[in-house]
Amino acid sequence: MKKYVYIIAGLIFSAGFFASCNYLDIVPDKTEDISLLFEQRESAYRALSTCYHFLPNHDGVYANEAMASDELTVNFFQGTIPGRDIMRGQQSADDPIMGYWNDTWMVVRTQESMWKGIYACNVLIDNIDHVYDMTEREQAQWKAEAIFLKAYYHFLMFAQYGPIPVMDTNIPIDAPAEVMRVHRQPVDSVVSYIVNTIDKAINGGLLTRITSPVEYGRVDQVIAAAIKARVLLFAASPLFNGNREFYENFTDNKDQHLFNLEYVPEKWLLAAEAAKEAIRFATDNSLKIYEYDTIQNPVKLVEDFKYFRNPRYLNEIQADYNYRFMFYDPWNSETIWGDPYPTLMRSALYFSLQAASMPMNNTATNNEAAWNWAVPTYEATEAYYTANGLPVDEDLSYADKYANKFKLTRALEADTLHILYRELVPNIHQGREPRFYASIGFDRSYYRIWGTKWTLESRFGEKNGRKTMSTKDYSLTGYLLKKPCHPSSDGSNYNRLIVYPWPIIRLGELYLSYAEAMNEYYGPSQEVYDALNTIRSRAGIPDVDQVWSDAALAKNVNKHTTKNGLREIIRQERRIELAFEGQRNYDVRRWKEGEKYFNIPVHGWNTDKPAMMDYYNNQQGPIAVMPRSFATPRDYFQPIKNDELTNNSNLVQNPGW
Amino acid sequence: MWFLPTIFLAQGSLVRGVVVDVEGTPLPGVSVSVKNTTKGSITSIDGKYAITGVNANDTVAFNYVGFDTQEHLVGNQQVLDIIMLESASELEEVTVVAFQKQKKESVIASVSTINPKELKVPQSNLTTALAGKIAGVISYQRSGEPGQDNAEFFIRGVTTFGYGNKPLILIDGLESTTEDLARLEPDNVESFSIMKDATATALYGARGANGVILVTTKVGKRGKMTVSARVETNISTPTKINKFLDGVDYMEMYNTAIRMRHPEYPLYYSKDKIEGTRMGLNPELYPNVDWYHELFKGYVQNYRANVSASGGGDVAQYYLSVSYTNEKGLLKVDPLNNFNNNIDIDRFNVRANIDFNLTKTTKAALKYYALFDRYNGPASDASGIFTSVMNANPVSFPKTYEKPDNFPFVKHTLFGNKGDGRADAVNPYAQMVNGYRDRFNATNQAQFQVEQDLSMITKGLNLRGLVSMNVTSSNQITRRFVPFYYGMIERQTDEGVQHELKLLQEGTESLTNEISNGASSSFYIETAAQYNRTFDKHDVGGLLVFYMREGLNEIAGSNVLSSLPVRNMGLSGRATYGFDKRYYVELNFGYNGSEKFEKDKRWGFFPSAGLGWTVSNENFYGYDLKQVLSLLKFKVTYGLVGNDAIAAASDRFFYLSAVNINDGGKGYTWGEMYNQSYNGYSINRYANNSITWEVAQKANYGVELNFFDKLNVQVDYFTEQRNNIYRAFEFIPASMGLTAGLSNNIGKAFSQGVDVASDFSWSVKKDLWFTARANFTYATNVTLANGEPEYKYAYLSRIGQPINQQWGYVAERLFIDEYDRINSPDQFNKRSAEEGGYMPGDIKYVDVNDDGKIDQNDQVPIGYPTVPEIIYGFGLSSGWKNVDLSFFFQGSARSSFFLDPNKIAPFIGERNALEVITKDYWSYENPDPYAFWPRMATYEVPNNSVPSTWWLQDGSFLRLKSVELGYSLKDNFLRRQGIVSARIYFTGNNLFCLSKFKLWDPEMGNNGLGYPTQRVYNIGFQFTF
Repeated sequence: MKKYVYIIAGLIFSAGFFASCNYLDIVPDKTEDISLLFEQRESAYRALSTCYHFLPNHDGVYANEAMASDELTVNFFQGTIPGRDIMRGQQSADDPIMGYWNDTWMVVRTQESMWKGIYACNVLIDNIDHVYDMTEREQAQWKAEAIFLKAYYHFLMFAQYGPIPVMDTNIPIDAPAEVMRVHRQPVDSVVSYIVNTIDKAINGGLLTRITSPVEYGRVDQVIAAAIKARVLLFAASPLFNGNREFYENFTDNKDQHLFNLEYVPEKWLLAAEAAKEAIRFATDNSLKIYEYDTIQNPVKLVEDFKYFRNPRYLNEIQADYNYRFMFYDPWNSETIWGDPYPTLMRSALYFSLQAASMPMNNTATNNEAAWNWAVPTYEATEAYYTANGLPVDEDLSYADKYANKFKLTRALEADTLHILYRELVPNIHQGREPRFYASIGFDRSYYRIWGTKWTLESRFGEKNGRKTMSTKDYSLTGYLLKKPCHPSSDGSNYNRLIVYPWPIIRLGELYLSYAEAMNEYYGPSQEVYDALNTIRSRAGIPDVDQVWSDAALAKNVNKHTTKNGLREIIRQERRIELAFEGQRNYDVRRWKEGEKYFNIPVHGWNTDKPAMMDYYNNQQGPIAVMPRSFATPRDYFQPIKNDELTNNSNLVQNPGW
Repeated sequence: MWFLPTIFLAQGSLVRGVVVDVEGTPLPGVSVSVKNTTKGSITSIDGKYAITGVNANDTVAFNYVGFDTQEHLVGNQQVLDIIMLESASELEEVTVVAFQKQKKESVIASVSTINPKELKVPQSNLTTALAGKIAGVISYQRSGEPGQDNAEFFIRGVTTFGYGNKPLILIDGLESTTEDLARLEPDNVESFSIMKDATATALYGARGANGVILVTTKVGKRGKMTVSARVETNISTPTKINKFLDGVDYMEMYNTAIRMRHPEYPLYYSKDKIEGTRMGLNPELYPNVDWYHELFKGYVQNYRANVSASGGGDVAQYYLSVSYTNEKGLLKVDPLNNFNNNIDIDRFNVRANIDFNLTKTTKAALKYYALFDRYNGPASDASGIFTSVMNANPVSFPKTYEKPDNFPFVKHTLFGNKGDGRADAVNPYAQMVNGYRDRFNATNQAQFQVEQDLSMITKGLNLRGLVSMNVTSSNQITRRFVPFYYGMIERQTDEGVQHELKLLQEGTESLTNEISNGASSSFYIETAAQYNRTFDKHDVGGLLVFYMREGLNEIAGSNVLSSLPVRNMGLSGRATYGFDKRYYVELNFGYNGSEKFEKDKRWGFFPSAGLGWTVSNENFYGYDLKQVLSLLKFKVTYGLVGNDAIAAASDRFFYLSAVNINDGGKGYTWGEMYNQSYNGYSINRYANNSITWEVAQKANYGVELNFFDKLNVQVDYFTEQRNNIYRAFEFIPASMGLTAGLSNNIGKAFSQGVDVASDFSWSVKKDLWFTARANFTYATNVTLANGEPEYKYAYLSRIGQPINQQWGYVAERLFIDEYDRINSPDQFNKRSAEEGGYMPGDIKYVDVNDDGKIDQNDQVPIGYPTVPEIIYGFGLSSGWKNVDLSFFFQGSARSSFFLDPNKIAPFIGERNALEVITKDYWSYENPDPYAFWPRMATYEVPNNSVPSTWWLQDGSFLRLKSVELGYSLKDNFLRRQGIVSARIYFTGNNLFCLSKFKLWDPEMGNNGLGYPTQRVYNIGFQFTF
């Protein structure tokens, strides 16, 4: 008996030593590793989608760039709205708003750093050749897409920060700290890197045009050429081209000037040629300026049938539909690069500009997707032309109205498509061009929405006005934004909003860019007029050279024949045509007009007043409803986060921050 | 053993009685002797004794190991009941050290032990009893929520800024969780010790760097069965309740606040609404809700019971224990629901320890432990419900609406919400009653042990083997419904303002359920050879231990790497040598492996050594001196201890990269219909095969003193340098494009401190006794190296600062006026903006670097660390005849915390308002630049919510932790019923607290809006049969 006990005891004691040395070796083979992505085409898709993942979410209300300009705004009661907060002067270098350099919190999602996107592109470029079940042609195409995206991510940061470091290849993680501390490259090197890289993508394997519907949204040569035109336009613009005024003393820690100090007019030529080339690429691939086709695309609203049948209204209703559906008719002939991943399709984040702009429906049981608070500023509305296609202060036939622009008069038959007949509205809301009515909703105007046609009643306590003082969902300015809201969208539920790809770049912009660059380099020419007229004829207004040379209409007759005059005309045309599309915040900056446009308060009607006269401020014009702040030259560029400057002592902060 | 009184002896009389300890538990085996005679006896299993032939002038002496000897003159007493006091000097003859026991006199490691009775608290959470009771433990409790009220505790403070800073907890030798320790029944604890220095923890090598808590449970004693029972019930109530404004004051203050920033704005709350509320008109139109009292009860009653039995014969001895606890929360239950949404915990704790003597030299032991925890509670976290009271205001809506006549078919409750919004306001009541959670947690643990005495080979040698298994499972079902929210819609009509109740958010009529189940298990083997022998004056000892442990499913997470087991193995040893009870030497080592590291970096060797010198045993130590200072002992130890918990549990295998190659959050979508979706990938860690152990170099210098055999003092000074702390390189620029940080063993920290334990016991007469204890722990630390960037300003660097140091701005005062504001440095680029900017009455900061603007670079280290540097406690117990009284104070010092203005600033998003804030704030009427609250606002003022000295609070406090009054029944009647002893006692916990911070219980720190810490009034009965 005793012996057995010894044996048992002995066995237990020695059990430990039987344990093999492999006891701690527990990691099996086949754990996840990056290389697994590049074995098969199907898994390589995940590497490719990660390259695209970093593209900004333009139609998200919290990421929207129109909000960071003088076009759109939101009342104070809605918490953080990054764009609006920048415009109110809340940008800071400690915690930058909307900057692409670091991960940025956009209230409902994080916009990840563009550097991470660049890293992902480089990973794909380095590894895609290992995938065994892809053809070389396809590998080349994917690689070219990643190359293009890398360039585009650099460009997005270039637009925000100006001179940036160039990360053409990934720095190894075991590199010495000094290698990791990259320098900012001068503007010209950044531009030439971006342009060369786009060229590499175009020549390296991008498809000419993506035609397969399942691949809509992927990059092709038409897209790349269009973006290249945008890059060169930026590079030629006053902010980046010989900006001695702002950046004469802006150097880095090697005493290198980060901005070129000499104006080079040939940059405009490059921009013009690139725009022309991009237009050619697009039109060769059957893209054209969008026009609403009532045969293929029956009119959605019963209320509008009669206008299409009445020759008296046909042109105007056609122009109205042209412009509106150009924006939200999915994948139409003008969409060069549509965002195939709109906010409404993103996982459970429905915070789209469309929902934020949708007017509330008091009779609906639910207004889940109609928030009623992303609204145009008065400044944005005044920029639109008169029905003659002239600025409101230049049109002699509008002079009476303009002189009493805030006076309330009864709406005329001429505006019956857009304003409730015989209602009292300010003169400035009457007799305007179709794009104005297509984009802006105001008191007593019609709004085609929720599948029907409404008359907006916007004063305090009214149907579309602010309901009580504790209402958060109201228009700060009294205006409502129509442009992103599809007439068939139903705000009772996110699923009933019409989804469309936000145009990242569209053909209309290329004509405007071409016109601008041509005028800057050569001065006025028929080619410039033609480019502008392409846009204007779709918008239902007379040709530029026609109205400006008509002494009976234009106050400054023949303004279009001088370079400076035409420049103003082009800029205003661009402001109107691309309004609320997220271009203006960059346009104003590259034209160095921040002080002029971004440093004045937002104006709007007095939405706290139920009485008509109070609402219209006793016909004295809109009141200041929100302060704005813009410091020159500080606010031309984003601040680099202070932490990043601490981590990388080779970086210099942008001036003023 | 039992001298029957029937045996008559001619001379003298019979003296008999019962010997018990302070708590009335009978003490068997106490030697009872009549001085200067040979007469004597030993107490029986129930503590009784009887001696015959005792004269009136005889003195009877009572002797028991570990207790003070007592002598009593017999006089004419026939019954002499004795309360024995545990001796201060030799609380334990033996001390439990790593893997074995050592004679206390020979221990040179720094080990604190505590009498398990000290751990009895009326809350059923043992971790709450640690603060101030044990020298060397830094502890604090942030929440009073039943089931979630574990205290945080650190041995000798926080000594690393790496991931793992928690001590290793071993219960009966098995690695256990904080939760296991919290649920331990103090009645079952035999010994509780804290291992602090290198020699004490070296044998645990890889796991001992943060100190070790070692608990052993009681085992059976040979003899007749003894049954002990304890029944307690208590009333638990918050130590402090936050006071909020009532509706009328709220609205008036809100209107004031809006006008403070925007004088031109219309009033937010109309006069009509305020007056209606003041007059108490229709509460659906003019709600005035006191959310706190609508949601929570003032107190709650809890129950506890514990029964244990112990005894046995020569072959087997047993200790069996069963306890039951019932704890409830303060949440009210909605009468409209038939389920219980309050916290209601039933807990059963079972322990059976059985020892067998298989042969004369072979012993076996079987230990079984089970914990069953049945939890019922709200669907969402209870602490969150307390917090949400802050986010609802009294006037927006009532908690529910009465069902109006025009809603005849509505069956659901009409929960209130803001009438004009999208039902996005917080209704705490709806949040509380919208469901309930059922959870069943079970822990089952079995341990088998064999011990073989090998004296036949060589004397003093024995072998031991142990196998243990543990399974913990948790099944949780949350059932909840989505509330239907209704609101009063205001309509402007020709007849004036009309109100109409409207559905704002569709809810669900039925409950949904979410099930989450999980189980984890562990397996542990330990074998040890032990040798102990005394040769004349030489005491020699040796120990060699091998162990391995595997834990399955211990790591939360779904990927393959986190699903792999956790494994540890090690070989440890100790050699001790003592000479003549004067000189002691000890050498230890731990050689440990962990699965976490690359093959070459997997094993760590951790040696340590110590020296001890008992001066009071030297020949030159005089007799007179010994009468005063009866013990004087010095000890020094030094060594290395490791830590493999260098990163989060799921962050292992540092030599592999952590990649999610199918990450839904990184994908993109293409296609005409936006449906060609592909997931992406993410890199969460870059591979690095040089990562290895964190290592602590610990040194301890101790002295033990004993004065007059009554006062025992132990003082330790320690230093520790922690090297190889796994730490991120923080200076990696974002332009690298990395999606995860880069880390390595680059951190270093140094800590030092003192811990002092002293106790005193004095038995004045046979009926009157005192014991006192005092503990003091001071631990401070400093960061020596971390991966921080090169800061432009030295004060931004964390090097040279305590590990838990906080940084913030230095608030000078509030801006006095516009002139002051304009002429001060610009703060956060916000001066120019109206909204979101700052105004007179907002906080003015000091431009530390004098660059004309206030930004991140103006933050300096402010205040003390978040973890207190000093924890202390002191208490006194005394007894007179049947009555005993004790109290214990506990304190904490040198800690700071920030009030978080983002959580408590009133009116933001129509948030509730704490009364104290509205009593002292800046206004044009009261432009006090040092008012408690800056200029009011109804939106967040970022200028004021940055961490700054303005919000810094002193976290120190001194509280009366417990008071206990007991009465022991030592009645013959009881004894005839078979009840050996009985005691009734009253306990009060957390009765009062002294602190500079007045808003809430300072121990809660910045968690003051959570579940409040509890004050407990307890009554208990204790019996022994």
